[in-house]
Amino acid sequence: MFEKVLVANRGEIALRIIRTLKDIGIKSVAVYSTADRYSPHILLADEKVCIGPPPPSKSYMNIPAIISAAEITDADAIHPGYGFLSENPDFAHIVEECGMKFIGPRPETMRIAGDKIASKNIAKKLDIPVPSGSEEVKDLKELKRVIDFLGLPVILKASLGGGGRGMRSIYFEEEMESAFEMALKEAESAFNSKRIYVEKFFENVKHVEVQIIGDGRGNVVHFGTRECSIQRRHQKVVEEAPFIGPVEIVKNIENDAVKLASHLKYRGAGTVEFLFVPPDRYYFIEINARIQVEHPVSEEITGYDLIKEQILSVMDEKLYIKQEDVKINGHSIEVRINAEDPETFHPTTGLIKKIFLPGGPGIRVDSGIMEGNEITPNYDPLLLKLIVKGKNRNEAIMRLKRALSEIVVEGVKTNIALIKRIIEDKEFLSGTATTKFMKKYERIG
Amino acid sequence: MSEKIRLLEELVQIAEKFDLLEVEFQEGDIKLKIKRKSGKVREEKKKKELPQGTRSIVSPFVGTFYRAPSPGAPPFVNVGDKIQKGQVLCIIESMKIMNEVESDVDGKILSILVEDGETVEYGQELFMVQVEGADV
Repeated sequence: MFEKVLVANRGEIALRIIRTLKDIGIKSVAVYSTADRYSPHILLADEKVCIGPPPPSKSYMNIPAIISAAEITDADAIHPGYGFLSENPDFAHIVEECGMKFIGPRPETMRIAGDKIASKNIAKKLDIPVPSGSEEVKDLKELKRVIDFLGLPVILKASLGGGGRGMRSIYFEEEMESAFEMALKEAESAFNSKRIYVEKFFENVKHVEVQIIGDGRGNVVHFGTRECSIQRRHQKVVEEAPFIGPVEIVKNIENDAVKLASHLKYRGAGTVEFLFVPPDRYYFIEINARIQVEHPVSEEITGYDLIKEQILSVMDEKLYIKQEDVKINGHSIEVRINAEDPETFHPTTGLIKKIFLPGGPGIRVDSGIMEGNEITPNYDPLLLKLIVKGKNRNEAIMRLKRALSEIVVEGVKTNIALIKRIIEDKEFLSGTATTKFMKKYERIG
Repeated sequence: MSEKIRLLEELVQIAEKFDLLEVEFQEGDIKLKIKRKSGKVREEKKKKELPQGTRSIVSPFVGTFYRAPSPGAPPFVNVGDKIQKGQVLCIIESMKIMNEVESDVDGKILSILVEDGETVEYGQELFMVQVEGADV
């Protein structure tokens, strides 16, 4: 039994985790950089430790500082949230070496999940459909050969990439050389590895993912699908659950996700991502070995607290839920309210002068900010997540419209106006939006 | 008369704007006297001012504070000791690694703010020192 858990994150997800810890009677330790002294997650935690100055490398990604904070507060486990150290197998390894539990998969599983070539090969072996593509591509000649075989467009991906970074699409042969150079450079600087590979690029497709939780012994339950086709540069903007698609396809995607996670003896919460190519094809793309930003939409349609189930599955290496207990009810949509310029999409900074959060039936807000907080350029621009639920997609959309008409955030520019436009868009309303959708909203940058 | 009332109104406005307690005004040969509010409330909110020439040395690490290199050994420094830039003042144990914290000034230890064996966070004040050469 965990008595105390350190939350190695900030913002809304730190607060989200601390809330569940309170609900299940486990004490919480918040860590923070000097830029986050007045953030709500600090105020609500049972204990707090300042771990460094604002740059993430010196605070939220500073492994010695975080481990020391856990040691001086006697924490039994560390919850990494998402981003920062959440998918770093070396960090997970150190945490367990120090006699604590890492609330996530085992380091070995994280290494496979983090290596897209490796996880794709495992999926292939399990007869899960994968996009046609290459192994590691080392030079232009090889790239040319692969492109001749696959046909354009293709996408170059860093094998250790994630979060939308280290990806380059190629539409025309002339772009091949510069795209290859850029992808190599990005892969090396961001992921410290030059391994890149090529895949057939699907653009007019739907992004579908499955939420899973495993006990680390091969038992896995899923919590249905999510659709996150509305993305800009591989960053999700609107997320929904469940994915509304052909029943047979949804079932196959869910089963494949469980098959893969079960083969990996996956521990804790994770997401298996797929592309759905209408009308009837789908491909596995990657595993995200962490709790995701969009997990609340799955919570809303299943009624489970996924952070709680994640913590319990790691703590006891046991599942308390059977697949037949998981029932999907209604429809949920999440939008990410970011501090960003709605025209240029650049992150903005400033002081939160006023904030009014929407409420009423079917509305949930997961926020990490309060009035008086300073939005600095050090971190992700996510301010809060607005999550709505309805009996069906239509009711959810109507509630989302209402919530967006109520919300007020003053002091920084936000993407609220952009989201209002998106949810009035006919393509979005009809449910036919694909990963290409955001292209029409891009003007500059 | 109405001109004087306008002047009075203006003075009241100025007094409010700048938080003034008293404003005296004389026209011939211009005599002006202004008294500011003591501003106690505002002062208290500000970080407490350190006496001139003193400053704190803060922890660069999260960990456990030790005053001596080993249990039983004499402490690195005591209150009243003269210290030099680069001199080791204490150890912060972080992930089983002993990190020596050095002084970045010449001066004198005025007080030690943390007990031996206590845990400290990043940026926590450890020592108060009188900086050498600074006016007292």
